[in-house]
Amino acid sequence: MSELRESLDQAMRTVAVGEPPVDAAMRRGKAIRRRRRVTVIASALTVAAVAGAGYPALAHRQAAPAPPVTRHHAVVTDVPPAPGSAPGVVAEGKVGSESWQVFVTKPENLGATGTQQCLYAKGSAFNDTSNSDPSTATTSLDCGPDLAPGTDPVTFTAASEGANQVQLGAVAADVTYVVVALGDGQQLKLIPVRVYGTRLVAFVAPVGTGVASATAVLDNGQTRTAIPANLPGVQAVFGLWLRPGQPAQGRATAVIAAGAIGGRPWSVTAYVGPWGTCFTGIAAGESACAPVAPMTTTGVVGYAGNPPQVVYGSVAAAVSYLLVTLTDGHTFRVEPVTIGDEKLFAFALAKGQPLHRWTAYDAAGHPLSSGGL
Amino acid sequence: MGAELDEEFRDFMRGRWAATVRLAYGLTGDAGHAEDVAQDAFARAYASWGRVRRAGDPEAYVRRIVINEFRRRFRKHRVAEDLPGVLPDAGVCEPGPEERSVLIEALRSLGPRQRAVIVLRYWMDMSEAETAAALNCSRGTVKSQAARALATLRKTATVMEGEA
Repeated sequence: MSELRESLDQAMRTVAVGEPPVDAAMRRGKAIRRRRRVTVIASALTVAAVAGAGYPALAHRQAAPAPPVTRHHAVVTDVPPAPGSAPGVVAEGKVGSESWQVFVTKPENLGATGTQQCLYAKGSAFNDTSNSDPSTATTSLDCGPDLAPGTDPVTFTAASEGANQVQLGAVAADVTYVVVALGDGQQLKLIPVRVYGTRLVAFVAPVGTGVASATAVLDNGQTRTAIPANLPGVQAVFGLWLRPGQPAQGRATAVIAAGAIGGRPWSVTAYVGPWGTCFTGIAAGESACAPVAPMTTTGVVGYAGNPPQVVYGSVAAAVSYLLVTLTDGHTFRVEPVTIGDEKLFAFALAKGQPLHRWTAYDAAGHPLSSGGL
Repeated sequence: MGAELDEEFRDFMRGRWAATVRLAYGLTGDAGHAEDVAQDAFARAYASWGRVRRAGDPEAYVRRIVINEFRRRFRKHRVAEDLPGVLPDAGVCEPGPEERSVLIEALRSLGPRQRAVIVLRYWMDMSEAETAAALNCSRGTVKSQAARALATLRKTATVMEGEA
């Protein structure tokens, strides 16, 4: 068969190929990244990566209320796939008069790359986006490792496309069903379906409507409820799951740092609440959320950029300020901002000035802790 | 993404673009679709470039996306494309008949699954098991489709060469 291979090789070389559209591919790649721009940090303060410098002028504001959820009144429906539906369908329904269907691909082994499972949506609710393949009217939302339930009753993966958000949840074995309350008061009852071996639920709703809560009803009749963060312009982000009566952290919002690097303004806003703690503005269109409430230990929670450009984290109550030392020996001071029960910080690093170390001090100037990359 | 990583991605895409388009062309039989599919695959690789490059085989990642995309389109168009003699429309970048090899023409005359089996099994040198996994079918299907496709290719190529 090597003769056939050679013939095929020769034949394929006759296929004219244009110049590689590198810039266009990178633009599309960036658009894909923007769609999944909320990172859920698995465990805050276990991400210990930092970096270096600029001399940001920190700007503080008093905590502001959480962004109001805009009330839309598109009626949303959600049902499990009908008998005979295509493999991979998790749920389908309508948003107003627009139809939607959410489906996943079979998990695939990519060899050294690990496994991959992709999330797609189709229907008129997604047809007006540039990401849709017109031949199939299918919108590709995300690909990643296989979906699998975690330790929470439901582990949601979310994406937003155009005006709508898609929430896909991997459901724990002891969950009978899930009730989702949207920001406008509508409720959706989600029945888990087994798709490629994993129990899944899914729903689609307008981003602007917001999601008020998701309640998982367990086999034993108990419930667990998650109140997600509704960050401006992006899909709801689920964090902590609470038992009935378990106290939830109050909502508060504040700009925790702002400044300019190379003439480009930047700012980081923190949203704390029943979901944990979210940071927005860490990079263009990117946010990160940590399911920890309250976040009261000292350390870097995460950073954005490669090399790191914006670093964010929290400090213990006794910490008054951080001193950040760059690899070239320069230092600058970062003052945390109190927001709810937390003290959070963010700072920016200019290109070519990586961070060497940060040290946390109390009000008397005694060092309390330090860290680095 | 840093400038260095961007540049690395640019080099990777420039180096693998032609091979990826040709793989997509072999699978879809349509030049217009082939460039779309290839561009989409590279866009996805760029979107996760940090993770993809760390895994050590970005080419395999891109190839897998191309095959997945073919399978997705194939599922959608299975009925239409299984009709004998129905060929996809030629894309604007497609070479004219005089430039196209007889084997390519013969390949395009196959149904999507048979074409995919030939491309993956005999051009990409994938094993029967790998081809079956990639196309989500059994090894028996790969064998039978390959046998039929090879017979058709021989026949079609002979006829075409005779006409040329």
